[in-house]
Amino acid sequence: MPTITITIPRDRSQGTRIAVDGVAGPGCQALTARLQEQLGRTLQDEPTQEFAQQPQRLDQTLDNQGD
Amino acid sequence: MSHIAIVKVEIRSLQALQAACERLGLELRLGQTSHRWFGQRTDSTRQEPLGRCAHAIGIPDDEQAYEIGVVPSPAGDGYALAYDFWGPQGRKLEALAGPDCAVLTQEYGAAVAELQAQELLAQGWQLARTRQPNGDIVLELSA
Repeated sequence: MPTITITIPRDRSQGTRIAVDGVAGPGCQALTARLQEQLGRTLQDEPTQEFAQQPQRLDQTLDNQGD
Repeated sequence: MSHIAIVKVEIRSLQALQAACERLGLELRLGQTSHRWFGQRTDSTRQEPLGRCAHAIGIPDDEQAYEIGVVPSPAGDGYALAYDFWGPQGRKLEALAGPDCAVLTQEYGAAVAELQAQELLAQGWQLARTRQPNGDIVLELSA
């Protein structure tokens, strides 16, 4: 299940952390690009292992059943 | 995990700033171009104008408490906060905005995220907000 977790620290010296789970492929960055832009200046943006995976179409099973 | 980003919060949305002020019991006074402060600088070497702003933040129905100035950011993008928490009139403001405006800035960040989440919420995502024991706010959006 895709989740976006945003942690906003009380301490101003720390950055706000945005973590995206459960979204394969570069689509995950599109999910948070606007949020990052609105929040301020991105200091760090690191893809994780899942980022390199091929995105899966959620409707793939239904498409196959229709064949 | 797909990706992790770290963002330094900068004030760019007056709509989010207004929402943050309301949550903390403060009032964003749009277009108010001066804000109350001690009124006399203690460092005579500094030249930047104090007391002038693009907008102001104050305590509703309190005409004595100092106000926070929302000033164009020296970095050129968005706004910075100018404030004077000295004395009883300043401390009233600090009690709501937090030391160094940390609570106001934190609520602003949460408000930006909540406003940006509206599009996903319209698509059926769920939003949960919690506060951690250390004071951090955690927003979790799930599909």
